[in-house]
Amino acid sequence: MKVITTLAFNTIKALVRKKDFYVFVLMLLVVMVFLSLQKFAEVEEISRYLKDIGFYVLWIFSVIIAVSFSAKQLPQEIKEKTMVPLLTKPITRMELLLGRFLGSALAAGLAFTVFFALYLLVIILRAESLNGILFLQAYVLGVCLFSLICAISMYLSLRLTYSAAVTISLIIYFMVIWFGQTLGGMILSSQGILSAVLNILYYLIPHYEFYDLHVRIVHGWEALPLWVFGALLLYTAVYIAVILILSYQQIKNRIF
Amino acid sequence: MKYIQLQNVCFSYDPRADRKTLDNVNFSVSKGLIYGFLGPNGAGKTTLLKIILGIIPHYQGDVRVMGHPPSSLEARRKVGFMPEIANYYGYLTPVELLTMYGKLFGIEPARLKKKVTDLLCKVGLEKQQKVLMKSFSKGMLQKVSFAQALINDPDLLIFDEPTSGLDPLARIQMRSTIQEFKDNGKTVFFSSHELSEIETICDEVAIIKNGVIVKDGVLANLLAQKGEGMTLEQYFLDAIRT
Amino acid sequence: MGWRNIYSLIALPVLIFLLLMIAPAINAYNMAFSLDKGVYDQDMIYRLIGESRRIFSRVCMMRADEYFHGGVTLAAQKCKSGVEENMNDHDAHGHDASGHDAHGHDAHEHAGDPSAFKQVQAIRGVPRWNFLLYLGELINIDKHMHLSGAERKEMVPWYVFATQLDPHNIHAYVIGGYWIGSVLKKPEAGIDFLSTGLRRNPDAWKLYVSLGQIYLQEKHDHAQALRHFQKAASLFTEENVTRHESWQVYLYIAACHEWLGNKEKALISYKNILKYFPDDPISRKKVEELSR
Repeated sequence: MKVITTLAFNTIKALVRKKDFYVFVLMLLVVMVFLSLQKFAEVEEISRYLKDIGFYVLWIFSVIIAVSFSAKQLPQEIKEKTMVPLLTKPITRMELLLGRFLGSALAAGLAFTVFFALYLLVIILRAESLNGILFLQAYVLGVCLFSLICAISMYLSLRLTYSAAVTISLIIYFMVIWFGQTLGGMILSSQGILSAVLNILYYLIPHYEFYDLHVRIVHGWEALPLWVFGALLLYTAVYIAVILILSYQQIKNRIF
Repeated sequence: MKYIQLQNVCFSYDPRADRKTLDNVNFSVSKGLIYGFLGPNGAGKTTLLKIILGIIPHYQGDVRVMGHPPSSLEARRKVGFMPEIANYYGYLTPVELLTMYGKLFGIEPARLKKKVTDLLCKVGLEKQQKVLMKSFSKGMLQKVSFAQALINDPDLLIFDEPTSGLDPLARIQMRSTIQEFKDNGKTVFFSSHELSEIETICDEVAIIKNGVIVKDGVLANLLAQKGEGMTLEQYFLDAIRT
Repeated sequence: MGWRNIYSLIALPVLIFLLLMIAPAINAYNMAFSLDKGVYDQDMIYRLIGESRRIFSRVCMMRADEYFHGGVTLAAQKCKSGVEENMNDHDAHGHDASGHDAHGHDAHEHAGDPSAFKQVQAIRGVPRWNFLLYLGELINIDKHMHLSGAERKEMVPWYVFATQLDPHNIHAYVIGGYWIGSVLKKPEAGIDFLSTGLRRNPDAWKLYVSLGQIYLQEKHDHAQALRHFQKAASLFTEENVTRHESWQVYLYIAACHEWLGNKEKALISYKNILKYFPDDPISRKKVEELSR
């Protein structure tokens, strides 16, 4: 465990010491401030558009960071040959994989935390009321989502080039977000073999849309029931475990 | 005790290829020796090093490093490796890199901190301890590479082209450091193209050509077999031509 | 962190912020300049995204509708449209003169569709053994609701965005003007909003009608209302108005004459309506009343 956390905490430094992260923070800040200064036809105290667009922007930025950062980890190590001295140390390949995954997930989580804190600050400064439990759920599920994205991006980076891994990861993300619910509707209205095939596909895809609580936050809906929240955490853990096992199969016998 | 033992080791990157990368390699390295490993480009030196280091997990034959399989954690705890190409994480400082590696070896924090400082001073990087490595020159990265190989106080040091990219003064210092290791009871195994270096400091050598060990043994004995005044350069040329 | 880095951290956001503030101002000047010259499509947004601006404008309109329904998407709403109780819900919000409901939906859109109703039942019957699908349904919000009271102001930004993205989106001006001027009781702001639309679309009779409605219902300025309804009628062509729409506008004109005390002009107006709409019971009744 110590080996894994050592690798993970050093991975976070890569995010903190690169400029990309700060550019996103600044852009989010500028967007939020710009939006909050807008006036709409003398109508006062409008806030949902700010919560909506602000949340969307922070979410997208976090996705970009999660995908690009995690997809770069192992290919960059292999390309720059930093993998070789690392593998000569007393760590197993599973520990290496877990360490890099945990580092990427922590880095993406850190970026999301900063963005989320900034978002909350702007919302609170506008004297908006907050549903504490809902925001906490949104934050935790956000961290889970970006961990899942990191795992999938990392797996793809072991099978494809870095650019292809990033592209495919983003395509998967947007396809699932846009069409995940539609697929559910198609399953209900189909029968026989088609229904079976669609069900298999439904269970295979990572359900990113489950983690997005922005409608609840923006429009003041209630928080998720506790057992649903728990089920989502369990789903995340299981899916990530499966992806990591598949990733390990890719590196366990690979010659670096 | 044999620190490195290879018996009938065969390996091929492409199983369908006519020629194996390593073909029936047999040699051993005893404790407390400086062992030189040389051969022309593409002979299989780096591949063999990777097998000894456990980076290549699957091969035919038997390899033991201090009695353990090379990919085992027990073996790796006692080995220090300095690669030929010194690439490290540009976003880390030398202190952070060595601390990370030290933690992987399970060294306690207090002892690790002192050890890191001492090592960086020893290699001449005391002023660059907290500078990000992305701004380091090749020579500075080599020094970091050397320092990280020593972080766990290894019994067996494996170097791949240790003097590559170093200026003449640094080469001399490296040679004397390697000699110092031997005097302290450590075993050194290194591959190099610098025949003069090997001739100066090595006790035993092995020469590899096309994946096959063509000569190995005590350096002085090997040279004496060919007559008085034989140099390693002449011996090497002779070995790889036959 | 060096001074250079600190300077970059401060200078960069300030620069981006200034660009974001200055760009609309420059664009507004450019728009006004272009309008004077009769060139409408050379603003910043058109230069950036071309004709796809219309798509983004429509997306903003859809967004406004989603906001009205508490963030529930159009697709989920359509599934619910077959449920009878929601028909009554929409009626309770009232309809404007054009027959659209409070948020611009045509009455037909709420007619019960058997397949949509079946789908609602199917979703509600997701079997629990299909755990993931069941979980998805629990997470998904599909309740039907409407914004009410002061909450309705939350839709306004999307109408404004829709008109900024596509200045020729008449529908956005009409619906936005209705919400701002009539529902949120800000008639001056509604008039400004619709007037902006008129500057960009001088031949849009619907905008004159909307302005007329605000003058009539909110400011009780019958003279101004009449002026706008008459202007709207003068812009009718065979292609740009339906019989029903023109009937409504002529009714407004006649009613304004009546409210202004011009009974003779009102009577003439109602009689003219009967010429083209002989089955109109409202006009027939008014003619009888005013003839006494």
